[in-house]
This record gives sequence, structure tokens and C-alpha cells, in this order.
Amino acid sequence: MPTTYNGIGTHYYGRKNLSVRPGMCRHCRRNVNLSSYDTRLWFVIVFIPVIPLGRKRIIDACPACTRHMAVEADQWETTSQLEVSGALAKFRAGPTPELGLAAHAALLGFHRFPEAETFRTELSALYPDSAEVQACLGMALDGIGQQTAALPFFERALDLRPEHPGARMGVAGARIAQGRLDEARKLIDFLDKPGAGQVHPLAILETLALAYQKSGNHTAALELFGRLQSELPKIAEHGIFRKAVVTSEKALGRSQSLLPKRAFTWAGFLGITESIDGSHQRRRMVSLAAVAAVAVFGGLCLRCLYVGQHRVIQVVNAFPAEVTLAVREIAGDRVVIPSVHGPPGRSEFVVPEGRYRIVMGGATEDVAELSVSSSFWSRLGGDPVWVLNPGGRAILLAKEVVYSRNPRPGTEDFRVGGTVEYFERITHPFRETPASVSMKSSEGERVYVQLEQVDAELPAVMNHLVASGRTGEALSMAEGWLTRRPRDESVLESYGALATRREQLERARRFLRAGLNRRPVEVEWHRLFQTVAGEGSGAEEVAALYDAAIRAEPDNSALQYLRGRIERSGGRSIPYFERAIQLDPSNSWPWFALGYGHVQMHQWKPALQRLERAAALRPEDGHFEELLLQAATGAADDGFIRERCQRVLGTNPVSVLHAFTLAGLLQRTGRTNEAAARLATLENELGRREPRQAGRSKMFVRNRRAYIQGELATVEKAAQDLGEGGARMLVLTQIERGELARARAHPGYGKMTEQEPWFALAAAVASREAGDIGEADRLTMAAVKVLTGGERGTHSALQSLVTNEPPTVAVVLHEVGPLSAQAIVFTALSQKYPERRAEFQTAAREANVEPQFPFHLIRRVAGSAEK
Amino acid sequence: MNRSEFDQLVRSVEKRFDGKPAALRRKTLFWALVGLGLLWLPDIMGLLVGLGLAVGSLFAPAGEGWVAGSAGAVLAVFCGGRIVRTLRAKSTPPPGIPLGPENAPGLFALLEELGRTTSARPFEGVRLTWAYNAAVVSQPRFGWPGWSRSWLVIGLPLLDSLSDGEFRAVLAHELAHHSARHGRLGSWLYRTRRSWELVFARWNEHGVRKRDHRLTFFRWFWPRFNGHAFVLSRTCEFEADAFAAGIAGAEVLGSALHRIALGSRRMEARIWPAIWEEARTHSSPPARIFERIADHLAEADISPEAAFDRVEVLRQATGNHDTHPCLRERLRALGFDSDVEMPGQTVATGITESAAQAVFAAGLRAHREAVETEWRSHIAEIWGAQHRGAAYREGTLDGGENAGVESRSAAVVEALWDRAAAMLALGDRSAAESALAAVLKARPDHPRANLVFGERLLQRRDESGIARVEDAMRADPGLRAAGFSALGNYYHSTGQTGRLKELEARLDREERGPENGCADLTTVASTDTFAPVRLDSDEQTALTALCAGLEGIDRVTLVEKALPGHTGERLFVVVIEGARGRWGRVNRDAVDAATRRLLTAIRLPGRVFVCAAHGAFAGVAAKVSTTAGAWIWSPGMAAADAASAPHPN
Repeated sequence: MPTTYNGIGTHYYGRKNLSVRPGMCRHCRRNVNLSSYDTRLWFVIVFIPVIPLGRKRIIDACPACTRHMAVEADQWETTSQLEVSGALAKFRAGPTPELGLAAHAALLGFHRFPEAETFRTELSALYPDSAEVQACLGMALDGIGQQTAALPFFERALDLRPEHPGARMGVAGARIAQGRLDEARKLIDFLDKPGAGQVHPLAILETLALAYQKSGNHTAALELFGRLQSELPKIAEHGIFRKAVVTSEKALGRSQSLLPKRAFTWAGFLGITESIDGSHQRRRMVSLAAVAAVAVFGGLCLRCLYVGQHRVIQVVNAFPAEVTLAVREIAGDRVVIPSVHGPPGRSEFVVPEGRYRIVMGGATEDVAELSVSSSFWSRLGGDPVWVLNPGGRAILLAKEVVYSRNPRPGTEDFRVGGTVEYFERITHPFRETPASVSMKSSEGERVYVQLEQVDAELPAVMNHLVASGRTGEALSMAEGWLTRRPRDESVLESYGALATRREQLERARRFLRAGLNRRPVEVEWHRLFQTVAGEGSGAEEVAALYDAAIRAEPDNSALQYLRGRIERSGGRSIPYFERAIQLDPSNSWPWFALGYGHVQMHQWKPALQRLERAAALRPEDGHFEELLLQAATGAADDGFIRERCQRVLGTNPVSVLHAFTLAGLLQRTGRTNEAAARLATLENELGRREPRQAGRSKMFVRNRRAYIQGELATVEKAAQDLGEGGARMLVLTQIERGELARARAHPGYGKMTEQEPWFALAAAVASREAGDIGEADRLTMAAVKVLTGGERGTHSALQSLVTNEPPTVAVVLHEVGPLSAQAIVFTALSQKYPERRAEFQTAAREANVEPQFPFHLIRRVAGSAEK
Repeated sequence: MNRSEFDQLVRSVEKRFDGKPAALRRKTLFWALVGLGLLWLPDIMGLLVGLGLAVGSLFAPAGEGWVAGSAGAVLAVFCGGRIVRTLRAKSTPPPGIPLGPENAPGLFALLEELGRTTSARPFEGVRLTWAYNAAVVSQPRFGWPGWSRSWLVIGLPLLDSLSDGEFRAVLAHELAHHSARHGRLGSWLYRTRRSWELVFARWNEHGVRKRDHRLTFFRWFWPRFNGHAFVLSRTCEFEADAFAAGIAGAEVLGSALHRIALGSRRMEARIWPAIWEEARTHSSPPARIFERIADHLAEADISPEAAFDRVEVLRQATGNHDTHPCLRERLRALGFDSDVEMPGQTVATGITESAAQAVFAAGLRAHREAVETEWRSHIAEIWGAQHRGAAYREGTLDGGENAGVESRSAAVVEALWDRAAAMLALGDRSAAESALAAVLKARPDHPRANLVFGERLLQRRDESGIARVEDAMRADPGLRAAGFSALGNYYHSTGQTGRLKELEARLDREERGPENGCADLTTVASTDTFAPVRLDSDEQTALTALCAGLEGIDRVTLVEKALPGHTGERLFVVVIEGARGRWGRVNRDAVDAATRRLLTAIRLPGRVFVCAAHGAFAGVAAKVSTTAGAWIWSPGMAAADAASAPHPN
């Protein structure tokens, strides 16, 4: 049958040579007007005929169910003409009743109904005394559903030969249709004798029995059913027959059935053996479907069992060395895996679901409990992932990737610090998600969840979260991390900075306060606590806290140092530092504190001695080394700098601090090529060690070299090339180059002047140098306002920038700590108070030892130390 | 491939592999494997793909692949089920009474002796049946490619009809089939061929769509495989004969083959029909049937039909109905001259001691009773039905024999025929023949009476029966199949190979439908050959008058299609060309009306196809219009002129 889908497919168009006849549809069994006609089959698009697929003869199309037969119209035409004419020709050549009936059958078979009717009349007239001819004509009409037309022929045959079985059955069929059942039964009483089934078809008996049943005469119906069964014993196996018998027996309330019992067999029940009534086909289909369902169910069970026995545990080892793992089952203490090697990076092992104790060795010594479990059926569709993170060092990120026309931002779930992590749904564990996916039109969005190890330090992750407005999460993450690693200085520093910037000081104070009683004293932790808790009115409280601690532990060197560093007056803190050194000469912090004080006062030689000691005691601390080199630079001790830098670079060629310091020294002493060679070596080493970061390190080194060499145009160009990422560097460089208009035009400039007071003060210096006094005053006012609001001890020195009371150099040195800040303040003071310019510029030049912003601005305004 | 083509193929295979049985086995094996491979290929592929998906999904990452795995499992179950269904073989023992050394020591001693000689594998069992036959029945354990189990099945009537020595030769022949001589390959090929036949029968039973690819495949494959398997089977028969002759002697084996051929005919044509005739009067089979059969077989057959049988069994030729060669060829292969010294010249004299008596001795009576009991239970239902049918028919027969025979009234003839048919069904030969004679007297062209009467004549080897059967087939197309069968049986029985081939060729022509591209009688195409029409003057006059009544017609052309091989059939093609109007357009309505008119009114001595010169049959019309000597009518011709115009022929 032609079919179309959304208007595309095949369709009939046209209708010729239509003939309609009443009859029974052989598909839906309805009595309808069946039509036959010539048409043409087309391939259609939007129901528009496009390609003709041939002429067809539609035969007996049912208007109810639309089913029909279709043959090639030409073939039908040819065969029809030839067969009919052949049959007629044979009949004419030698007329016999048999040839006449064959010709009539051909006419009916090819739907030549009008001709058939004419021929039927002729034939009937030709053999008026032949009951066989009359009966056969009746049967031919009955066969095509024309019972009414058939009846006269049957009746004529019956008149001619009252015993003619075909005639009697034909008339009986008509009587049954008319509801004259007893008459019909009388007509076919010859079938009611033993052995009739061997001679005649008994279908009429069943028709009559069913008609009796329908009329409520169940006794007669059962008699006929019984006759049928005695003649055709196998009919008792026929489902429809049995149903009919049972219906009548129930209606009569008979307890004894005439039906034999059916023997139950599994083969029959499952439809394997064929049944008479064809019910085995349905049973077979059901059985096959059941087998398929069982196979699928079994497969799914196997799948669940397999998955449950083969859970993959992802190992993310962020240590640079291998971690060994021993896996024991907690219940029964059975060793499941004696030893697994977890190389740096990612690896995995497989265990059945259960609870395990995992003993880690190698890079870290740790024990973790791992519970791997899931519900049975969730194993089919779930995507759980268990991650073992030795030492909790790796930062894990479960990131939703949303595919949609307008995708919403996916959630991010950072996990840090935990040794065992469970993720309920990860579709792409440590795999990339596809760039795009094909989705169904009905599918609104598709979400994949990717698990990855974050290739960054925690501070960077915290910055990312803060940038996403998730400060609380960032702080929580840092707190979780610091709970396990309280000595992680970089995280402590980031935590402190974040808490300060986001006004979460109370939260930070509470968190840090909880760790103060840990021993040995974690100096960095205490330092941060002092920073966040010592603001404003908290200073006295903190001091009281440490006083109490010293009373409790008077011989604790660290507490002495910490108590000293919260003294507002530098002079009063020195005894604490000296006492700390006395109690523990190996405590680097008091040495550092004393050195820092000397640096602040530009007392380079004593600072150098103390800082060298501090650095020797705590060589891993970059701050110590940095301050030491600043002190050496301030002291112009080139030999010390050269010797120290070369020594460090000999063991660690990628020490950026020493490489740049040495390069700065070489540059300063006119050995430009050597400075360039030094930095080229650094560049190569960095590229070799981190090939993936080679591009970034190369750019970094080149920019730093250009800065050191004063090639600010080069730095500015590099910043421009970086685009958004180089925006800050671009503004700083433009300020240093005096291109203020361009710097101010930058969108980030205003924010920088508001949030970064030392930058604002440097910009003020540059503005004043450029003659823009108004902008300089505005920036100075803003910077001073911020700085005097929070910084301890800087009030009078900085206030003098907005008043007309110049400070002494010593006051500035006491109040302003970092050398770079001192350099800016002294330069600004030299501009504010021209009468004391020489004094302030000299101090500024002394403090301008660190080759970073605003190094070249200070040099431009205050001159260089070499001069 | 029709019967003639298949015969040709068999002959070519025989010629090609003459004296090369090993090559024939290889070739047959090749075709068998081709058939199995192509039949199973989709299922095997489906099974492998399904298993691959199902197993692969087990190892897929959690949460992935279960949909593919489920689909794979369903596919594997479906295809695996189909394969298992094919492999599933009900290996049930053949029917019959189980025999063993304890109840048939003589037979088993003989089997042991022959088994040693032939190196035949031991049988799964031995069964004694009521059939007139001896055979090795093999059944597969695991379907077509699997191992088989074999039973030796011996018919008690066969044992009753043969002498001890003859039975020994027959047994040697069967053991040769079962021995390493033919090997398992031969048995497997035989079973495979049989299985293909069953497949074909099932398709016939359940119906297969004409465009079903399996039917296309089968039509291509089956004759090729069967042609080789056929020849191989015959080769095996000759080999088994030669082997048996080596053991029992050619004379004894030849005598056995001859006696079996005659006994088989006697059983089928006379002994079993006589027994079944008793169903008319007995509600259950009479007692001691197999004793009666044994008595009959032990005696010489002196019936007139037996005389025909003795001659005809040696005339029969090998056909494509049976894998066994004909008796004449088998005897000739054993070294007998078919015309002079056939070993069966003495078989008509009967035997003094049968093989049954020799091998069963005292146990024969019990075995006979057991066989009879089983036979009775086997045929009880059919016997009962026959008896009830006979009783019913007798009840419907009125007493007046051939009443109104002088009347030629159709109703009377029909009543006479009904009586004759009832008599025939009852097996009352004399009454039936009397009734038939009455029918034919009243209506000599009665088709069914002619058919039955013709069959009767042919059974008596009266060739006038052929004409009667042919008349019946002509008068009633519905009797063609029965007529062909009657003629075929006659030609086959009497060994008239040439006429049998002609009959089969006729049958081939009638059976070939349009789908085979050879339906000469039901197609008209431009590729057909058309010839000038041959009409007598009356026909031409009538046709001219008919054409003169047509309006808007420019020309009517009549030709006759050439129908080689269809004796007595004619096919006329009439092409109507419409008159062209002012703008050169044909009046199609007029042409259609003329076509309809001619279709109903034309009277020609054969099939007629009427078409318009334009439209779908333009190609045919063009070919017809160029046929030299075609009968042409046009309105310009006066009716009288057209009638008297010199005919091109």
C-alpha cells in the first residue's frame, strides 16, 4: 500500500474504469462496497506527484480499512482479456457445463461482473435442467459475497434435484442468514448422519450451530457441535470451537462437557508445537518475547553484577614521587590488593564494591577508609566515581558541561584536601567532553559532568572562585586545606588577603584563633592571625592574648617573636626579638624581624648580617632571600650579590629572584650582554623544565629583562599583545613612561586608583611630574585617605603629603615599611616640598632598590642611585 | 528450472562425473555447503553481532552501552533461536517393533556376519514394520550438520516375499549404505537433500511470498544441489548393489531386486486395496491381516495385472522422481542382459521358505502379531473414517440402479454420476463401471466419467483410455491435474519414457507462470512474433460487420500470435486505431468505446487481446501494424469489398 510520511512517499492519483460491488472485505471481514479501478502510483513530495511509478489496477479496495490488492494495470488488462476470451472461446467451440462454469469463473475472477451476469443468464438458460450448473453458479456468487444473487440459483438447483447436497447447503446458508434455522437444519439433515464428514464439507453445520447459539437455542447448538466433533475429532483441539462449545454448555449449566480434556504440554504452552487453530503463533511470539525479555533482564543483571565487582578507583597522585597503596577489606581484614603503585599523575585500580582500608606509603604516609557501594540497579545508569587523592594534595574539579542552544553556565564542584572523594555522577572522568553533541529536537539540554585534576595551586583556584562571586566557597576551601596543611604559607597568605579584602576578618579570626594552641607554634599561622585580629580595637586583645601565652610558656622563642611583632613601636619590639634569639638562636623569625627593621631604616650593613642569618636558618623562605638581596642592593654590596646569586643559580638555575637580581646587577654595572645572557639561560632552563609553559615563561623573562633594561616601550607592546590579560601591565608601563592620558583612558585605571593606594600615589607622582597638579592632588588625597585609614604607623608621614608640614626622613622610615613604598612616598614628598627635594630624593633613591613598578618612574623623578 | 531442464542437468552431471564418484561427492558437498552457508549467513552474522554487542557492553564504562547491550542480547537470542530451531532435530526412533538378539537371534546373527564383512557401524536399533521395504533410516542428532543415528527398518511383508538368500543380499545392500564404503559424508548429503525437500514442502504448506528472497535463492540453489545429489544417490545405489552382489551373488541380488519390484506393485495395486475395501463392511480391520499378506506373497501371482507387471518392471526407466535407478539399469549393472537373461524369470513361481520364516523361526508368529497390533493402532482412525464414509454412501444410494438411463436429462445424468462416484468410493468396481457406462451413454462427453473410465482402461493397459483422459481434460480444465497424473502414472508404469517426457514438457508449459517470463498464453508483448491471421469466410464476415459498426475508428488490424508448443491454442491480437480529427488528435473516447465493444462482441476461435494503437500498448500496436499479411479493416472499405478482398495469404 502506498504510504507517505510528512507528505513524502507514494500515493495513488486518478481513478478510471471504476467498478463497485457489494462484498466482504477479505482483510477486515466487513460487508462493504468493494471498488476496483485503474490508477497511477506516484512518488509524491508534499502530496505533489513528482515521479510516476506505474499504472496499477486496484482490486477490491475496502472503504472501511482501505486495504486492497494492486497489480500492474497493463498485466491485469492483458491477462484478463486473454484468460476470459480463452475460456469463452473454448466454451463456444464445444459447449459443456464444465467449460461454461470455467468461463463464468474467469469472468468473476477478473471482475467482469456485468459480462458475468449476462453469461450467467445465458448459461442458466442453456442448461435449465442441470442442478449442478445452477448450484455451481450459486456457489460462485456465494464465494464473492453475493449471497442474495446466489439464492435463486440454489433454489432452482434444489427444485431440479432435491437431494443435491450443494443446493441444499446453499439454500440452508440463505435460510440461516434469514434466521430460519429449523428450515436450514432440515435442509442439511443429510449431514446429520454418521460418515457425512467423509463425503461433504461440514462448515455449514458450524455456521448453523453458531446461529443457534446466537439465537439462544443452546441445546440445538450443542447437538450440532457434538455432530461436528464426532465427525471431525480434531476439531476439539480448535480454540474457537472449544470456546463456542463452552459458551453453550455454560448457558445450559451443564457440568459434563462434551469436549475432551486438553493435555498440557510445555511445548504446546510455549507455542513450540503447532496447534490446529494457529494459536501457537501468538503463543510462540509471546514465548519469544519472554525469552528476549529474560535475555535482556539476565544481561542487565550480569551487567550489574559485573559492574559491582569491577569498580574503578581513580588515583590522583599530586606528589612528585610514587605512592604505594595496600588495599584491605575492613570486614574480615582480607587483603584485596597487596600493593598498587600510584605513579605521579593519574592511575587506577579495580576492586569489588565493599569497605576498604587503604594504607598509603611512599610519597606520603597515610591511611584512608574507602566505602564503595551502590544500589543494584543504579549500576546500570549511574556514573559514580571514587577518587583516592593521597595526601589530599590534588585539587579536583567536577564540572558540568551543558549542551543546549543557549546553554546555562554549568556548576563547578571543587574538592580539595580530602583523601577519598566520591562523586555521584561523572560522565567523563579525566576525559575531555566533546566540543558539541547531536541532540534530539525534543531534548532541551544535555549535561555531561567532567572530572579533572586542576593544574593550578589552590590560591589560583581561590582567585577563580572569588572572581565567580563565590568568596565563601573559596574561604571554605582554604580553611579545609589549611586544616590539613596549616603550614602552607601560600594558602595562608591567600586566605588572609581574601579575608581582608572581602571583609571576612571575623570569620578568619575565628578560624585562625582555633589553631593558636597547636604546638610547636606555627609562626605563619600566628602571623596571619595577628594581621587579621590586630586591626583597630583588636590590637590590645591580641597583645593580651600573647602576653598570656608568654606567661604560660615564658621560654617559647616563637611566642616571644610573635609578641614582639605586634608591638606598635619598633623600639619596644626589639627586646622581644632579642629574647627570642636568646631562647632559640635557630629561630629565624626574630633574625628576620631585626633585619627587616634595619632595612626599613636603610641600615644596610646590620640588616645584611641579620637577614643573612635568617636566610641561613630558613633557606626555603623566598621572602627572607628577597629582603636579603634588597638589603645587599641597598648596601651596594655587588660582590655579595654576585657571589650569592651565582651560588644559588648553580644549584637552581631557574631561581627567578636570583637570576633577575644578578641580571639587574650586571645591567647596573654596564654588562648588558652578560645580563642578557643570564636571562636567556633562565629562559631556556624554564622552557626545558616546563615545556608546556615554555611560551609563557619566555614571555615573562623577556618582559622582565626589558623592564630591567628600561625598555619600557617593549614592555608596553608586550602588554598590548596580551590583550585583556596584559591590561594592568599596560597601565603601569604607561604611568612609568609618563603617557598619562593613555593610561587614564584605560577602563581599569579608575578601579586601580581606588583599590590600590600605592599605585594611586605613584600615578600622582607621575601626574605631578607631567604638570597635572590637579590630578596629582586628587590621587594623593585618595591614596592618603585609604592608607591612613588602615596602615599602622603611617599616619604622620603620609598626612604630610596633603598638609604643609614636611616630615623628617627618619619619620618616614619609621612609618613606611616596604622599600618600594618608601621610594614612592619620598618621591612624592620631594615634589610636595621642593625646598627639601634633595633630601627626599636621596632617600627615595636609596629605597628604590627593587626593579619593579614604579622603579623607572622613581628613577625618572628622583634620579638613579648610580648618579 | 523445469522438469526437462532438470533432466538435462542430471544427464550432464552423470556424463561429467562418470567414473569419478569422489569428485561427485566433493561437488555435491560444495553445493550443500553453499546452501547451508547462504541460508544461515544472516543468522550467523546476526548472532555474532548480537553477542559482540552484549559481551562488549559488559566491559563498557559504568552507565554506558547497556542499550546497545540489550539490543545485542535480543538480536543474539533471535538469531540464535533461529539457528537452534534449524539445528533442533527430533531424533525419535522410526515406528516399528524393536528387534534385538533376544527376540530375533537369527536376524542378528546374520547382521553380525554381514557387519563383519562390510565393516558397517552398528545400528542404533532394528525395527520391524508393516511396510514393504527395507531401509536404513538416519536421523540427525544436532540438525543438518550434526552426527546421525541410524536404524535398520525391515518390513515384514518384504521378509515374507523374499527367500533367505535374497534377504541376505538386500541386507548386504543396506549395510553397504551404512558402511564406511559410503561414509558419513554420503549419509550427510542424503540427509541434507531430504531436509531441503522438507524445507520446500514447508514453504509450500505455509506459503511464501513470490518476492521472498528465500524463494529466489531456493529456485537458484535447489536444482543445482539436487542434480548432483541425485546422481550421487544413484551412484551409491550401484555401489551398494555391487557390494551386495559380491557377498550374496549377482543372481541372488538380481532376483531379490526383481521380486521386490514386483512385490511392491502387487502390494500397492492389489493386496492393500483389497484389504482397504473391507473397510466398507468392517468397522475395524479383520484379524490376521499379515498372515493373509504372507500367504498372498508366498503364492505366485496369477492375476492378469501380474502379467503386465512382470513385463513393465523391466521396461521402467529411471526418472527424476526417485533417487533409485530403475530395475533394468540396476540389473544391467549387475551383468544381466535385460532382454535375454533377467534373473527374475523365476520369481513368478513363489518361494518355498520365506526369509521371515528363516530369520525369525519360532518367533515369527509373535512378531507378526506385534506388527499387526501396531498397524491396527496406526490405521484405526483412518479405517474408522473410511468405514463411516462407506456406510454413509451406502445409505445415500437408492435402490434403483441406473434409473432413467435412457433419459438424457442433465439432472438424471448428474444423479447417475453421483451414484457412480459413490460406487467408486466404495470400491465396488463392477457396480461403478456399470454406473459409469450409464453416465457415458447418457452423456458421452461427461468429463469426470471419461477421466475415471479412461483411468480404468489404462489400468487394463488399454490405450483408448488416453483419448478419454485427454477428452476429460479438454472438457473440464479443473481435471487437468488429475488427467496429467493418470497419464503420467500409465506412461511410467509401462515404461513409455518418450511419452512421459512429452507429457512432462506439456506440464512444464502449463505450470510456468508469468513470473517465469514464459507465459505465452497470458501475455502479449512487442517482443512476441506475430503472424498473419487465418480465418474462415464466416469469421471474416462477422468480424467485418462488427468493425463496420464501430464509430470514429480509422483502422482495425488483426494478427495472430505465434504459440510454439501450444497445440490447439490460438491467440489473436486486435489493434484499434482511432480516426484523427482536424488538429490531428485521436478521438480516444471513440477508441475506448470501440475497444469495449470488441471485447464483448468479438468471436474468434481462441484468446483475443484488444488494445488501442496509443497508450500503454503502443509498442505492441506498432509491431502488429508492421506485420506482413495482417487482416486490416478501415471505414473506406465497403463491407462487401472487405469480405471479398483478396486475402494476403
